[in-house]
Amino acid sequence: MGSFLQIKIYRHKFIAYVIFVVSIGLTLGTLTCAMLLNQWVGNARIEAANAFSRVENELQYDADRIEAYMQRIYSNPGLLDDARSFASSSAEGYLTSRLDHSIYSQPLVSFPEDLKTYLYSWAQGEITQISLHTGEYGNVVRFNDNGIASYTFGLPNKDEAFHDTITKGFVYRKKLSNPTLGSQEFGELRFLVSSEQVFRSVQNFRVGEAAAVSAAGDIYLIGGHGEDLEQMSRLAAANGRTHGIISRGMLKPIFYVTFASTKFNFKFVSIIDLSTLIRQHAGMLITLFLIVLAAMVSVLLLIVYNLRDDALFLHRIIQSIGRVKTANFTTSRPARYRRNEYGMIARELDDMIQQLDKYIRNEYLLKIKQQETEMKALQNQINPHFLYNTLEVIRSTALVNRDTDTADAIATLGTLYREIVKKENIISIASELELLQKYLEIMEFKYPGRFYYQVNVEPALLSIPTVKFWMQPLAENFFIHGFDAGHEFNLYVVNGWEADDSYMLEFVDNGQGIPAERLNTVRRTLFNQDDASSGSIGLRNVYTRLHFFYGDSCTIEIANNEEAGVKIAVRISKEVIEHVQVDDCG
Amino acid sequence: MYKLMIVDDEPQILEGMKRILDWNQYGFGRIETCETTEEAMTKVVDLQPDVAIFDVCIGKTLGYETISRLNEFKIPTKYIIMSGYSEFKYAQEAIRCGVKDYLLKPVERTKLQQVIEKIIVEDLNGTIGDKNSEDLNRDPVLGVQYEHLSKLVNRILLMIKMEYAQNITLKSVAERFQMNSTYLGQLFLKETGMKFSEYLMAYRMLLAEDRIRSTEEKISYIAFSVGYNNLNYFYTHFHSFFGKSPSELRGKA
Repeated sequence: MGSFLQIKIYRHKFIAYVIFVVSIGLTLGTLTCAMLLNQWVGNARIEAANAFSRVENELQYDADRIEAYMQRIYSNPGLLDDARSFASSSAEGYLTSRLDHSIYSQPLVSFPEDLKTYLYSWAQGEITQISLHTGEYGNVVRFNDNGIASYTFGLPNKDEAFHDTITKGFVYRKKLSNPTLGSQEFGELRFLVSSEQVFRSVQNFRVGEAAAVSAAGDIYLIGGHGEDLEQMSRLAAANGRTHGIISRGMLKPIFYVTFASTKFNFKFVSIIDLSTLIRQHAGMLITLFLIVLAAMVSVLLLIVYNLRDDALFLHRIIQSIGRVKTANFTTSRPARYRRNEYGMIARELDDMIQQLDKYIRNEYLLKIKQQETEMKALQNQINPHFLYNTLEVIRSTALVNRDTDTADAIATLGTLYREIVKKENIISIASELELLQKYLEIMEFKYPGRFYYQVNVEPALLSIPTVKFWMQPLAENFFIHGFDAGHEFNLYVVNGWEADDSYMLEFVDNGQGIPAERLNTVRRTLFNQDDASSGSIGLRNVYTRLHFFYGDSCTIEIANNEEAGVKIAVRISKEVIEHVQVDDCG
Repeated sequence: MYKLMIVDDEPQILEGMKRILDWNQYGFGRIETCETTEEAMTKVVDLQPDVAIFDVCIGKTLGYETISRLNEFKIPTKYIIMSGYSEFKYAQEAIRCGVKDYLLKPVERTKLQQVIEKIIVEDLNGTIGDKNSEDLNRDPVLGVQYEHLSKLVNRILLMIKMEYAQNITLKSVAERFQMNSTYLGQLFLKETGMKFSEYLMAYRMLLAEDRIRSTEEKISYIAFSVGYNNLNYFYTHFHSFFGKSPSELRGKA
């Protein structure tokens, strides 16, 4: 996972894939949710329609029953008579009138009893109140839930019991007239179909929250309760359209369906709350979400797998390059190369590294090894203990002869030789300066009173690593070309200081200087690596070694001084030192 | 009075080691030499020298083996080993048996000097001899021994001592060296801590002071003799250097 995130192109690719997959997944999920919701809303609407048609059927059934009962009244004169008697203003009046009209040959028919026996049972208890109205008042037969009838006589027509509202029920009005006396109307029968009874049947349907709203604005709540429902039902009923959305607050849309009744002037309103709907189908939604998530994750894993494979390979190539940069040529070849461009690059790179390694081994390491062997042979020819002991003996002889200068010079020569043959190739500037100083001391001894040297190097430079034995050849050049044995004041000065971004070392003499055209040749050959024919090998050798050790940011400048002699300035950038100091200084 | 012993199988080297340092000046009154291990063992036990210098190979025996055998006698001698071999093993063994230092042949005088001075101060609780007697070897102005100054500075000081009476300047010195005078002046300043001109003036003032005290010559003559052609300059410089006039100095004397 981490390997391809390290590589920029794969990181970008991966991020792009993630964004793409997540957005596709979200879109699909949202669309599916919307479709499901639409379906559910549709289902709820169908439920509501079914419920409404049930209500309509009930009402139709009741109307049919009432019609049938009216037929019964008219077809049964006894019943009609009893009904007429029932129209009297009080119970006593009814009983008296009833007895007056009774005919002993026939069984006594009771209108209220008949109502209960036929109409109430036909309508299966949905008709809860039947009243017979004359001009000013009405007589009421009321059935409670158990079908027990109770009677009230002489209630004024304005009484609360006759208030026609949907909260109580639906009222059928039937004129009761005398068929024999030229259709003279003697009263009005009112049948109250209880809302409670009618809508009870609807409760089996899953309509959620529903209400019936009458034209007068009265509301009967079928399922659910509360101010909210009332308010919403009113809003829905007032809306001209049969279905739509009421937005209640932020992000809480509410679907509604309305049906206008053909029997009575009321509207059946069904309210579908989205949050309720979602709660009902939570399991379904969660499953859907999990499916989409699983799909997204598996697509991403597939992408990661593909990318990782490529990225690992690229990573390997980068690592190979990094390793070669640090001069480590051991290749780590994979078991097989991929059969695409990456594989080609990796194979070519590994081949290149191998070739390079072989070349270096042949051309460079082998030569060094040969030189080392030669050097070793040379070292073994002269037993060092013999050499140094002999030098010590010669020095002692000089001391016995009171020749301190000779004695010191021999000691210096011995130390110088010891340092030169030492195996280490990278030493500090301080040690290199010490070597140079030993050489200069010997030259001082060689030209007493005619040669002076001065080393003036800031301590900041002393710990810098450098290649061994490059200062001495510079000084040697002076003794070969610039030195004047007849001159009393031959001088060699080494100056070293720390500049802003580099370390400077200056080797100044006061010798004869270099003629202009010769100086040009020296400068030209100094930077021309291939041309080995021309002279000044010493200086070029120094430049080549320093350049090899410090890289491009080490420069050598050579110039004549204004007064006399030559100045060789060596500049080593600080940046390079930081890299070099990491390497061993031994 | 310290005792020194030197062990090497080369008689010339023994002679040389006796002379490599001014042992007497460091307080070594007695120097014994021997060429064989057996002789060295007996002499060390008898004499109990303060410092013993061993060659790493004496005949067939190794110097540090002799030292570790001597260590068993609990003799308080401090050992130094000198060797023609730079092999790590020898140096390691030598250090293991407690030698003070492992010097490579040909022994560098300054290194031996440092080791001896260290032993005297740290182990023998002595002091490095006060070298007041060597005043002749000190520069009167800088107060530093000449041998501690580089040959170049010594040469310049010599020029001043030869030519102070003439019109010597940094420029004339630099011309003889064919060097940039600023460059040479910086080298001089770096090593002596004084500018060339400051040194020249101080040297001339010290000379003048000496002549004023010890002779009866006229001040103007003395001024001229130390290189001042202008008497006013001389008086100004003298006063700023000593805080008093030449005649005041003579009056006191």
